Amino acid sequence: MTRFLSRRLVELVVVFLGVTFIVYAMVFTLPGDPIAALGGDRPLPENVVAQLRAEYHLDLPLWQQYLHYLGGVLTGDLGTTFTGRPVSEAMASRWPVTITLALSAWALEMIVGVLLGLAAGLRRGSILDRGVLLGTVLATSIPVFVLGVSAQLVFGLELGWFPIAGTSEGWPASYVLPAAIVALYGLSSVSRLMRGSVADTMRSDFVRTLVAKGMPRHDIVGVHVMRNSAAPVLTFLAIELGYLLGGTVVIEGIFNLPGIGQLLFESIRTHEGPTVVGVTTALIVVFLVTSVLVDVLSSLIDPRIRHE
Amino acid sequence: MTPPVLSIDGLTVDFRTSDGTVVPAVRDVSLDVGAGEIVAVVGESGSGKSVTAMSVLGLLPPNARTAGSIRLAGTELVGADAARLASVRGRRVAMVFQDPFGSLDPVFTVGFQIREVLRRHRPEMSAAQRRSRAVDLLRLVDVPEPESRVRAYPHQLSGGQAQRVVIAMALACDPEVLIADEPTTALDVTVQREILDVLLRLRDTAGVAVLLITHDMGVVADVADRVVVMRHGAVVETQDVGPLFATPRATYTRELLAAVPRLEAAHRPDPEAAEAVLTVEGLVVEYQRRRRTTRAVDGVDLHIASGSVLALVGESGSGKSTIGKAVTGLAPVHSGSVVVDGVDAVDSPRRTLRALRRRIGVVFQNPLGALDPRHTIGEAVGEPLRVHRRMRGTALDRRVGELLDAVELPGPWAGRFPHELSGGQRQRVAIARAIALDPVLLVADEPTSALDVSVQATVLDLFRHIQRELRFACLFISHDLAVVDELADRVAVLHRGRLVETGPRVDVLTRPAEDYTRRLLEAAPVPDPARSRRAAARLAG
Repeated sequence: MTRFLSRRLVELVVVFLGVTFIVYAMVFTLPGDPIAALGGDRPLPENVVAQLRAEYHLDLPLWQQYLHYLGGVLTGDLGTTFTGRPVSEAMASRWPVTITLALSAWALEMIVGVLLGLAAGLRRGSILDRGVLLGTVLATSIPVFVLGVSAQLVFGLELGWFPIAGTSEGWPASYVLPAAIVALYGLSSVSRLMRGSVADTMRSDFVRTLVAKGMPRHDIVGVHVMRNSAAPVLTFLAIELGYLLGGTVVIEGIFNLPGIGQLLFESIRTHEGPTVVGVTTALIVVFLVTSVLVDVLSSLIDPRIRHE
Repeated sequence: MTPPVLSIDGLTVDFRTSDGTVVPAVRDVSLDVGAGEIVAVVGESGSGKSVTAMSVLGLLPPNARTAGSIRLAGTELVGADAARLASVRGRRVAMVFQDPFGSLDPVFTVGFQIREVLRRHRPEMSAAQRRSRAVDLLRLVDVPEPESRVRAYPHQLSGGQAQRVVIAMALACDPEVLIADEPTTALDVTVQREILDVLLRLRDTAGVAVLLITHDMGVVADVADRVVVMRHGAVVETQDVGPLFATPRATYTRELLAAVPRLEAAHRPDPEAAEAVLTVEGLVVEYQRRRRTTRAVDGVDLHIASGSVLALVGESGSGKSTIGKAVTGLAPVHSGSVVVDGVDAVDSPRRTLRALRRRIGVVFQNPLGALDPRHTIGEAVGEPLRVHRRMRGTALDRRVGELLDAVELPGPWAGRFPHELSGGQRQRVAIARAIALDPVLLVADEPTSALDVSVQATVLDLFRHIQRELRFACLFISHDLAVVDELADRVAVLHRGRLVETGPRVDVLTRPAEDYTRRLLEAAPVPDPARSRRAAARLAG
């Protein structure tokens, strides 16, 4: 187990360095000069430009800039925005919103998706099975803004159950609608994956052996089939969580939730390089950590992965 | 005679398919199993023997309709409700299936899986009692180091150990009846021997009634007291094991017995001396996985002369299939040389290797896996001709017709798909494809192991016939010594990647020079109850 973990952690560091460097290089080779943009229509004096460039290490070759940045990241300094605010501070107020939204949506997606998939997998070809397939495909094929705005109209304005924008009412009221909509889009994947996994497991020989052993059905399904079917679904769910934590830009926009997605979107629009890189770095870390967590979890569920 | 523990009377099972047709599977089957008795049900695939076994515990799929009577010491099991079945399954009747790894849940320890039966059927036992009972059960079936093995996961066990665990699980609640469905088919002969010994001991010491489902007459001769022969869903003959082998009453039983390959090591004319087509020297094959290196083949020398058959014999993991792969360029050769028809098959330019592959035919164990389900058999057989000989049109059709004819399949069948054929017919197609380019060397990896005995006999006949006619050299990989005896000119015995001994067939099979070969020969079940029991008595005494 320790060897398994340490190997995963080494892989994590390598991927982290590679991806952050690529993002860093890409953002800073984008066309447009942020320093020049600072001055607006009137060009800045030469010496001011030079001083700013030196201050932000922009006069150094790219790889040295990156090393400077990396050094900062390791000491918890994600750099400063061009307006002089630390990037970490800009993100700090955004994270709770995104994390709350992502976790709510993710939990909803997991619970409902797994249950629907389990039910469909146990009764393949039944009305329920077909209904789940049809329903999730239909929901997925509606554009997210249509669904978002319709939900605001129906549940927010006409029924008045939930607020339609902002986070002023806190969890859960402010998050129910956006989380439900985000979850709806992941539902078809989770339930299909679970359905296939359960159906495969139910056909396997050991389930027949369990019946022959006289084990009751709820034990067979609840203990054996669930654990055997979990691994592929879990992998998908982890990727999904990383993706959700990356911020769901459109949903955050529709419901006016000040999350990471909105911050990233604004920063890209305003050429706010340090913020883009800072947010991306944080997202990469989140993504890598969730993937390691999943590996650990799947190895706990399936001993064959552990002993590989 | 004491009343039977398990009594099947007039059992009939039909399957209703989705389009409404009724497929009969078992018709009017009656048999009894008494305490301390092993009753074998033999038959080929489709004979209904497994369906009979499954119906005892109500394990048939929901589209099955069962009629007749199955009584367990007075309890009727046909049409029994869930509660009655629950009181029988795993408690009074336990079952052991063919594939031990498939029968165990891969994500729980074997101890958990034994204890869960106890938790279910012996709720009065404490957790500590269950734990010690699990260890005792593993000890009972001769699992080494039961105290630590109880914490192992199925994938950490060997096939034989896994099957012992399955048997231990079945014995957890001291069942009156043990149903074993092909319990040794997936195992090596030496391991099979040990598992059969466990079954015999259970019969003698615990007085368990055993219903043994098998297709292997050797296994029947070894352990059964009484034999029920089934065909097309009906009982053909029921006799005690001695008389059944000595004086079979039904024609089908006689055919079945005649089809069983026997290790007789009869003399046959040797093929005339010819130059070697395949020369393997100092072959080492290593598989690298992460930082662990597994040496699958370790310094093997082989020679096959043109027109002769070399059988490569060994148990699973002996490296016999790996050698076949190395010869066809599918395994990483670490060192040593493989020369086929004068061409270095390891270190040649890519183009030379591709040209060489045209001259090597391959037949694998599972023909259904080897044939593309979307190609007709005509397309399958014609593909090598189209690709390598650029044959088209009528010339191609004519040659495909000839090839199908050579494997005794009707020419018009070229338009059929693999799923429309039986297992034996599919293997004929695979053979036809392998000989399409007139190979100098044919590698056949267990080509008949997946087939029924009577089908195996005809395919082996055909194979020998074609080999004599086309005079290719053949590397025949098999675990079955009797099959090897029928086909090979020379035999090479492998054990853990090393060559144990090699020599002319009769010498190796009758005067083995090495201990391992002797053990292999002794473990092979012999379809002759008198002889196998003498051997057992000799081993015991």
